[in-house]
Amino acid sequence: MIRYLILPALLLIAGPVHAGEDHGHAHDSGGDTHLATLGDIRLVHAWTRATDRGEALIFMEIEHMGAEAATLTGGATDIADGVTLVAFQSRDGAAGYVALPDLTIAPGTEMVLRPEGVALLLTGLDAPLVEDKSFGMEVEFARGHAEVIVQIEAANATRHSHAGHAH
Amino acid sequence: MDEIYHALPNWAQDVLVTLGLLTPLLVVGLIVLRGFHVGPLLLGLLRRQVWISAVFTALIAVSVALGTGLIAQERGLRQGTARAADKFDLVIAAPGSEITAMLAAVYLQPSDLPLLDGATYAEIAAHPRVSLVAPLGFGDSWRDAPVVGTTAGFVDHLSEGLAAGRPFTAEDEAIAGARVALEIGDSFAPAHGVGDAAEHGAHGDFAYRVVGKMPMTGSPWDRALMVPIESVWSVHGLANGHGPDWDGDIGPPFSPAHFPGTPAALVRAESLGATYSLQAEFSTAQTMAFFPGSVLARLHALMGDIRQVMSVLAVITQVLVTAGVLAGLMMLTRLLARRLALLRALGAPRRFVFALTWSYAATLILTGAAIGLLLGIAASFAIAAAITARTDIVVAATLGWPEIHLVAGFVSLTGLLALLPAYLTMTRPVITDLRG
Amino acid sequence: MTGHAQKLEVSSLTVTGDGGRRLLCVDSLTIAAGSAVVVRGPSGAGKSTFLYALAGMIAPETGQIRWGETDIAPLPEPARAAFRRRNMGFVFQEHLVFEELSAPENAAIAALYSGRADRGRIRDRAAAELARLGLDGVGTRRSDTFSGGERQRIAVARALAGGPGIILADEPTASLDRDNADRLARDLVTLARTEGRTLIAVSHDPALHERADRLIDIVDGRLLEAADG
Repeated sequence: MIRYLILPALLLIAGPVHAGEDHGHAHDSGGDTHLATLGDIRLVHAWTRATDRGEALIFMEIEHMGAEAATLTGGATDIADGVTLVAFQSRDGAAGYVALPDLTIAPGTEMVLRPEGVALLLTGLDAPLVEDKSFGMEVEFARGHAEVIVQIEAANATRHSHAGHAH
Repeated sequence: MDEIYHALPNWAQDVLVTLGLLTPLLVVGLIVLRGFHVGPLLLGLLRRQVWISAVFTALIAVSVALGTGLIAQERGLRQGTARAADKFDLVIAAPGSEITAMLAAVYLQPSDLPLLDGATYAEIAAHPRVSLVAPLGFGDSWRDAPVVGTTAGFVDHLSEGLAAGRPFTAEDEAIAGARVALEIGDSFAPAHGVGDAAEHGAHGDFAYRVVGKMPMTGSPWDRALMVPIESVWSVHGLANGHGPDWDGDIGPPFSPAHFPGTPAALVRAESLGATYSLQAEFSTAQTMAFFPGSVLARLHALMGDIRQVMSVLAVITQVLVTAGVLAGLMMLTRLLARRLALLRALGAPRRFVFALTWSYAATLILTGAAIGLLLGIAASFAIAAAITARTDIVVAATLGWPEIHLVAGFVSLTGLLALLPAYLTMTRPVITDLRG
Repeated sequence: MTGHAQKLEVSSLTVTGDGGRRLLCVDSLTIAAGSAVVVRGPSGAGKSTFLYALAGMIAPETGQIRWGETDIAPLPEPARAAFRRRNMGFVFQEHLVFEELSAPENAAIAALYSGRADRGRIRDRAAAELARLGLDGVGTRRSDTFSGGERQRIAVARALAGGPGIILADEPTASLDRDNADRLARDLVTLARTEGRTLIAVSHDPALHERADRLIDIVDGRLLEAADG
């Protein structure tokens, strides 16, 4: 119970956690918070699910327009102790996520990080993730990193609430 | 608290949840029975009302068995279908429905799929990170066994070594699944199509000879016949996948120009990461690439809500049965009224009569729940056998923590409900009851 | 825990039944500690009501029921039950025992709901009383294998096992044949008397009447001292 009382305070202290109202739906401007770029890589619709369990999976769409293969290696954020690249695997009737050292994204392809697929796993979250809020995180590639804003969706969401919009 | 709980291994969490669910019953039991020694009278009651007790216990047991059997079965089916898809790392097909393609490729359900062409297949086969690619050509059958055209490499991947015989090396050779009623050396003629619609004799006099037998895989492939893909093309009057300069060895490489098409291709990559990279690369306008395991998991997640509803319904059913049993108990306590009144007249505290009635109800509930769990396992085995017989998917029937949690919750809830008839016996008029 | 024989003083006692009908009215009654009293009267006169009121199983509308120093009339039900448990033994008309329990278990039934410290003593006394009543060595036979007379003696042993100062009996010989009734009447009065207990029995059995110190008649809910008492 106390956790819920101290949550607003934690949200104020934790820098990158933005209040939901702070980021508008600026679809027509360059300041679109649903979109980040790293050279010719576009990162779109980063999202996660509300949780108070200390762990969260981050999903997004990564469009690679360049000519050379890119390598996704992981990420970093202020609100969690660790970020790991993971992939869903089903073996012997048991399904779960296993760590991947890296993920090659071939030129001209769109890699969709989604539930029951590849994702970035945040471990050791400082505070519960609350629906409709968002926070910032770095997505790391072998060639550099991009800053994305992760939208927190409902605890049972299966996609970004703006998925399907053109960016 | 949360951190400590999440740091525990899964089994410890499950044990904790079970104990947590049982806590209300234990606390109530300790408070109700404190300072009393109800044992002899409780045994006396059970002996005296042995038939009524047995009927009530049986009612509770059956409702618990149905609930737990159903839930265990649902999980067994989920795991069984997932296990059957284990060998299918990545399936590439022409764009369409992933579920239809998965049902066809993994579970061998007959369906019409568009074809992947030779150029696309060659592109997949040439990808540096692909370690195995095999066409899967469906459509023919022998009796109720689907005949699937593929390569020896796929058979080796699926079987991890044949149980008997050798891989096929010629167009008229076949490998039989473990449950197919054909032995090495037997011959069979393929029919065009599957099931009632199959056209027998459509492929002329062509016959295959079984040269190898697969071990059990616990999947629908146990009832399949695997033949060289070239023969499937040939008997349908198509090019056999090889050009004029073919050396006569069946299997890859195939010539794109002479490749008639395949409904699906199984792809195995050098690593899990590479599998995901390939999926992204082959998710294009011409191809659809998917992980059967992920599609299943998404389906199961979708059905997760249904599962929850099912669990709730199971609990409600059990609680309703128990409410019926408790209503019966209230009537039974009228039969017991004289003995309870005698205790009161002798100076037994009201609380003792309360404790005696409650422990009687709690005994029926606990015994019924325990028998129900055992019955649930038995029911689960029976349903699993039936499902395996129908689908060839091996369904493991085991009792898991969710069932134990369900029963623990049920036992606690009904144990609390049983306080009501116990309370009512406490308020009955002693002298009226004593005179019978 | 062994109770002492207790003097009974009743005053201004009225008990009303359903619809305000007066069932019992006792202006004043004193029974000396250790005496054996038999209450008799026609059916429906209020004998049982009187007995159950003395036992604290019926709450009177007015009046006092003073056992020794304790007036049980104003006590709440749990306190009256506790008083009964500590000070009274009860014998009922229809040899009421728990059929599926053995004789020793029945006689020591109070051990099941008494404090841990008292349990051993209750069991020992129950065994001793059964022996005195000629029911030793019956082992673990179920009580429904005993005859009516034997069952009623089990009930007497049960009434005595707690070592009460007061024995109350409601037609204790009524469902017994003549021989068994005589034996029970003798046993009941003898056992009460040798331990100096106060015995109050409702009975129309002459075998009990002739052994009583005092006879009380009840007619229409009123007590009359019997001339030959």
